[in-house]
Amino acid sequence: MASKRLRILLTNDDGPPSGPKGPSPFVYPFARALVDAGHDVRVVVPSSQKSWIGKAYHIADKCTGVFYYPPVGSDDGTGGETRDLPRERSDGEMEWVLLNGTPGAFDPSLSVPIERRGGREC
Amino acid sequence: MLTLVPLRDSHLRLGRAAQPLCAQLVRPRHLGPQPRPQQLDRVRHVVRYRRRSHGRRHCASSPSPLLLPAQAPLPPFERPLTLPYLSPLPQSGANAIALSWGLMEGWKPPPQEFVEAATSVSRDVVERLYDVGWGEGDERVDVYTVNVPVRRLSSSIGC
Repeated sequence: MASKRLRILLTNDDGPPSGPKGPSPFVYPFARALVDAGHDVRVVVPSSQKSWIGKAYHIADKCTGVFYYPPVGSDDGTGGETRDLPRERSDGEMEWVLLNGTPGAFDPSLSVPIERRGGREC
Repeated sequence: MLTLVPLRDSHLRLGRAAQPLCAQLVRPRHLGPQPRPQQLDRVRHVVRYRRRSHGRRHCASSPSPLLLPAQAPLPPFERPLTLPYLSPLPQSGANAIALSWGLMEGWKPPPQEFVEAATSVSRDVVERLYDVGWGEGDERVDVYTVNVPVRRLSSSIGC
């Protein structure tokens, strides 16, 4: 157990948990490890794989999302419950947000390098 | 691809040998106590867009932990998520770590032992960087970019 409980927002461009043979096998075990270490982890990922277009902005698209609850005790995080509205969580249960956009649309850490370079990607 | 930007000798650095499967965040004993945030170098981004589809080195994933201050307000999730919740995001100033895993052998899916080792080391990286801090003023670092190379020590492939 970590000495300090960190509040962590975790995101990536691989999408929701897919199991080891799918496009997103890593974000769930990493999130699980952080939660098991005692940290407060919030996960926001694309609702489908957006690898290598993570900083793309779809200006005309409406960005919506759903809440996803991976099964407690799951090895790969698949097969969880999806809801339009959040619900109470049980012990050890994670709440994820799946957005139908790219990480660039909702991750402030990705927007900083673009803005610092005068609007151009490096 | 975001790649590792190593910190200088006077800082934390990623070493090779401490774990059986992958690198671990280590600090050589002769360097003394941990540096203060003001002593940190500005971390530069190295962005490579070339993708190696069949090479030995891959950027496997980019889980990006973003550390939020404890008092940071969260969106009031009382109705379905739509864009108005998500628009006021630029320049949050939140401390960020761009973390990726570099599979040095094969391709997805890696052995479960690789995933377990990478998650363990990545968790240590996040906790240690939080302790080091992001600096202040001109020494402020926007984002740490860290790649965790994952390979067997018995392999002849170098990091």
